[in-house]
Amino acid sequence: MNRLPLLLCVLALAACSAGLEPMAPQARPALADDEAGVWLAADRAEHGLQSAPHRVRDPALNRYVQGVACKVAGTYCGDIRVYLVREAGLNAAMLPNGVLTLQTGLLLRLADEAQLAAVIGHELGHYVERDGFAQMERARQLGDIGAWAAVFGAALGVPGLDSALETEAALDILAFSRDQEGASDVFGLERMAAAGYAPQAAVEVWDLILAEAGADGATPADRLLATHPLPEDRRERLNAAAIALPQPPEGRGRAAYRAALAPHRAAFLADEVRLRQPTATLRLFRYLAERDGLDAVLAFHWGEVHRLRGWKDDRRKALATYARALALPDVPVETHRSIALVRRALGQWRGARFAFQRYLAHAPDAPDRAIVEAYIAEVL
Amino acid sequence: MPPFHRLFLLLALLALAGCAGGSAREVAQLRTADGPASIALMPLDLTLTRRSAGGSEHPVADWTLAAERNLTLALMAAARERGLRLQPVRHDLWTQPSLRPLHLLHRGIEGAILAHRFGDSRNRLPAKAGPLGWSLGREAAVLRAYTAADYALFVSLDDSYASAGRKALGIASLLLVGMPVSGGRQTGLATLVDLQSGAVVWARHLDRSTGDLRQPAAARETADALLEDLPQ
Repeated sequence: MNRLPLLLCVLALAACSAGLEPMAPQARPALADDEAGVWLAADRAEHGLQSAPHRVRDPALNRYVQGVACKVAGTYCGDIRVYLVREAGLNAAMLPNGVLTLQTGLLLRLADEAQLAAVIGHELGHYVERDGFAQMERARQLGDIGAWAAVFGAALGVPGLDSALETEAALDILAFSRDQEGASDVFGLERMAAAGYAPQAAVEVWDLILAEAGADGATPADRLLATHPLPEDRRERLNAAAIALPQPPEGRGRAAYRAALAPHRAAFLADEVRLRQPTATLRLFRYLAERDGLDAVLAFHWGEVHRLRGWKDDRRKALATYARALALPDVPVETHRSIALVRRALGQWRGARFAFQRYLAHAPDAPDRAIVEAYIAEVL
Repeated sequence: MPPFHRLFLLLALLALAGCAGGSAREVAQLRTADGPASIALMPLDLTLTRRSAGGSEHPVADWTLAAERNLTLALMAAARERGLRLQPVRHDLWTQPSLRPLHLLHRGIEGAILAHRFGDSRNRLPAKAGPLGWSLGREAAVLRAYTAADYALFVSLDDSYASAGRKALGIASLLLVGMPVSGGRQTGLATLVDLQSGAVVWARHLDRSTGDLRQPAAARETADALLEDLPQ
């Protein structure tokens, strides 16, 4: 059928609904506004987050990330509330009421404070531009047009008018969301640069996302890309804009970021291992090792991926990776237990016993002491 | 079937649905030490929405806040008339991390009761045909410690109103093709939990196209409809 009338409808809509005023600092929508309803729903979600067991409550890490958020947000500092959510995988989200949720898997992947600032700047853009509300409004308007089309289509004897519009509407929402993401990229870049961070970090975050996008199965990046449609040139556009800005060499904040993350890094690595997506996790660990160098904690968890996958070559690879961990400073005591478990599975009884004993020597108060002692007795 | 036929079939079904609901009662009388039974009114789970012409629902903040106030007062008055003491708890009760599991469990029970007791007959469970048989378990005592009440009354309600655009669409649809378009709806579930045993001793389901929680008088009517056969 002729698509022209449909396109005209959608174009007319695009013209008349263009542009909400940006949200002012320290503002809330008036109670009688439609937008207040969106905030009400977000406030309720925030109540849920406050008592959520998977929220990271460590005051030091929260203070640090909230501090970075404030640097980027400037006058919007008081409007943005950071919630750290203990979850593997790479994602961040902004609710319409200024609740910024950051997954711990994202914190694990970022290299420095400038990259964190880039993510926060992008999400801040969604808040300031009121993107959540704008998108809902647009979906509502498209739905309204569809309903009218159904009635008039039936009255005029033009069947299928509403379902044809439905497709048009779905495409329109995708394009709308893509435009919002692009605008937020630019907004975030300007914000982080104004706060003194190196803008190139924003491009690096994109490289991080793209590096994961090729992995197998349901990768963490899949979920993000499902809501963030990725035109070929989004990274390139960001890159072109970033290159034009000054790159202060002191604007990386690498040491501060690593120090803030350090107490939690082992736990966040373990979360990734627990996803049981070995190919994707190995790809991530390789990326982290190439970027930051291999340390004992990363090597141990790398070995764990092999041990838990247990394919043909994995036991040998696990042992080789644990051996690399042992050669590095500050090796996690669990490395000995994992070596013992692999050797036990391989029937290497003496090696297993030796490693179990070393585990208990390093962790005499281990909660699993009884079962480890039972293993030692078994392999005697 | 052409898409618009499907749409009208759906609309006709919605119009036919009219008003439904029901209740289930496990006890005829509430257990009391002396005097009237004390019931804690849990934070209302209430959302008032505006239905757009297209049928999507959008929460409305000022309506919802007014409805929380109206329904709380109306429920207290309705309970008083039935000789019961209903005491609202603080509205931020569920932000307590220690209460989160109970809150989630109760929500799950609400969903189960709606689906398997009051919902579509194909979802009725043979084992749930008689007594309600849902319970929060002994952990409900935690709520008892918080509220100092014998029972807890939970009310979850969604109340929607047709927008001007949807009303206009309804008129156009009636005139042009002779089919009605569904308007607003009031649907909800009230449950009474015995805080000593954790058992859900009473449940009432509301699903109708009348009611207006934005107005105090109409909210009182909803409260009466909700508590109609609450044990005393």
